[in-house]
Amino acid sequence: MTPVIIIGAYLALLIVLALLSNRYFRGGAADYFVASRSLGPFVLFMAVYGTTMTAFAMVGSTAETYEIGVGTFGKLASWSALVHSACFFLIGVPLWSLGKRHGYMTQVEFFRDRFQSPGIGYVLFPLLVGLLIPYFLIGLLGAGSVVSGVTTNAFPELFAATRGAVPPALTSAVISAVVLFYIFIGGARSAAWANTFQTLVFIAMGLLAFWLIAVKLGGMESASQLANPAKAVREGNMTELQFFSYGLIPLSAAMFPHLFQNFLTARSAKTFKLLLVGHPICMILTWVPCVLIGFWATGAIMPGTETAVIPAGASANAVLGLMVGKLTTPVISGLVTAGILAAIMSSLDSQFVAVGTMFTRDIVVQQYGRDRFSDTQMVWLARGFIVCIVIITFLLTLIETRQIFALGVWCFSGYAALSPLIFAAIYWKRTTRAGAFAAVYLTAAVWLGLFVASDYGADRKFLIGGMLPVTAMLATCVITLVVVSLLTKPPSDETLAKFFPPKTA
Amino acid sequence: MIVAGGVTRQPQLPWLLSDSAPVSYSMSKRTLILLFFLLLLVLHQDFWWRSDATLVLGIFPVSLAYHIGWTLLVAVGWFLVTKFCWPHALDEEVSKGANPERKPQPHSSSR
Repeated sequence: MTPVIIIGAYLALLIVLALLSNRYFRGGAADYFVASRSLGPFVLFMAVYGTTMTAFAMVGSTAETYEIGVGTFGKLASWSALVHSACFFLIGVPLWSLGKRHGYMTQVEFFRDRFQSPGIGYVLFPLLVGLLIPYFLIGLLGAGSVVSGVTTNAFPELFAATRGAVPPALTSAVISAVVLFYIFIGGARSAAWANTFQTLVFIAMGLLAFWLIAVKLGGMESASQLANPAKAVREGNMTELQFFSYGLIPLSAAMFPHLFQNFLTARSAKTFKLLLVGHPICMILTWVPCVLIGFWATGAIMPGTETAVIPAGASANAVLGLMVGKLTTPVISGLVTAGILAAIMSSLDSQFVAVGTMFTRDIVVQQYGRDRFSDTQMVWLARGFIVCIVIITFLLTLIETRQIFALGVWCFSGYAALSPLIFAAIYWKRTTRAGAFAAVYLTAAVWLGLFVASDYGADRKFLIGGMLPVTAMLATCVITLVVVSLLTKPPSDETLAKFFPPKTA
Repeated sequence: MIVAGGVTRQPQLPWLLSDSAPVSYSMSKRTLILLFFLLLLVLHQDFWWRSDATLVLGIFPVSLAYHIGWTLLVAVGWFLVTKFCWPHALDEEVSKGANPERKPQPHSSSR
């Protein structure tokens, strides 16, 4: 019961924060979609960091370490520390600049302008939004399973069918409603404020859980001595090629539509500086505690007994919950659960705002003309589309979802595979419209082919030449983009002058 | 606009290929930082700890400790970028050429 009260209080706090941020809402589409491009360094940093960290940063990192050892940090966190910041600098800052100069609010607007083609938008829109839906599902399902885990036997009469636990569908519905509430009233600004708060919460809760678990296990040294040494190494857990190819996955940050929109909320270019430097440091603060908890879980025993904390056959995704639940108090358990929900919601909110913006700007206004809708109507169109997407996602959580977590890596791979498109659009003058179309079509086809070959994501050990499938997808995109661009007519001088102004004045 | 060594330069994209400081000064720093990141890329593949289960300070598996240190070096690298490779004049240039918020405009050309 205690965890439920703490979670409830946390959600109530978020609503209060949303009401406060609403006092700063300036009205109009520019404020709703990109917070009037006014966010400072700290809020931008927290918003972007919170958006890139999902439930996987806490629950998944612990689970993955429990299963395949501490190499989890190197293959996911340290690679992301380097590659994400590279994307923020090489992609985020230029896109912010182009967005400010030309008034872009979505990726598709940029690509349409750069390639002088409305068609590229109609091809990219379904791909970008389609790849986000598994991401939403992971968030909602993650929230449902975490809350269900910590509330088992809490409500034996009310929820008898779920052994007294809050049903996952109810949690998904409540989480969706809270996120919808705060983005409805303030859009990108509310999402950024909420993300700032939630990022601080999930970092703090991870550290708190880590500290208390270490104390309960007799100190960090004692906990590490008890852990399984086979999980302290990569040998037998992953190949070197696998470890290397994970470095391509964080390239997805260059193509995430919600990150694009976050970039546009920055007040100035120098606002990005803190993000570049702070991101790797926060990766350490978030991931190291969870990776060590996962490592300790491989050998942890209940104090004063010979009983393992993690029973044989327990699901890896339950490891964090079990370690916190058995080695700390219900209050801490509730706080850590709130931290996990914070990580989930801090991604969902930006994603919801992004799909709403994209639908409004890239489809509706493109179809019906720029003067057809007022600013207020555009905001309501965005809200309406967000609600539709949330309802669809919620309904998907109710059907068969066993493989949904495996879809995560495929969703990230899809975005990473398309990242050469944005790098080329910004840095390579010779990139052509035909090259862009060919690269998108062929990369999508290869993605689909490999996805089917992996039994729709069910085969989690599916590799190509010992490397992750993203390697083949990315190579397809690069080769197609370069070859077709070189074989087709270069962009017009007008386009080049707009995106590559003369160097010397 | 920036005057560097008597040459008037206009900040532009991509700025990794442009300058926001005197060329002789910034090029050497920029090259060193680029080499630093290339070295980090190579050093990420710490195959030499692959089978080593030693615990650093009795707590951190050696490969994990190594990657924590590696990640801190990444932060240092990005700090150096903000100091020596930053397009300082970009804000001014952007605010000069910024358009008011616009609505999407249908393009005349199609694929």
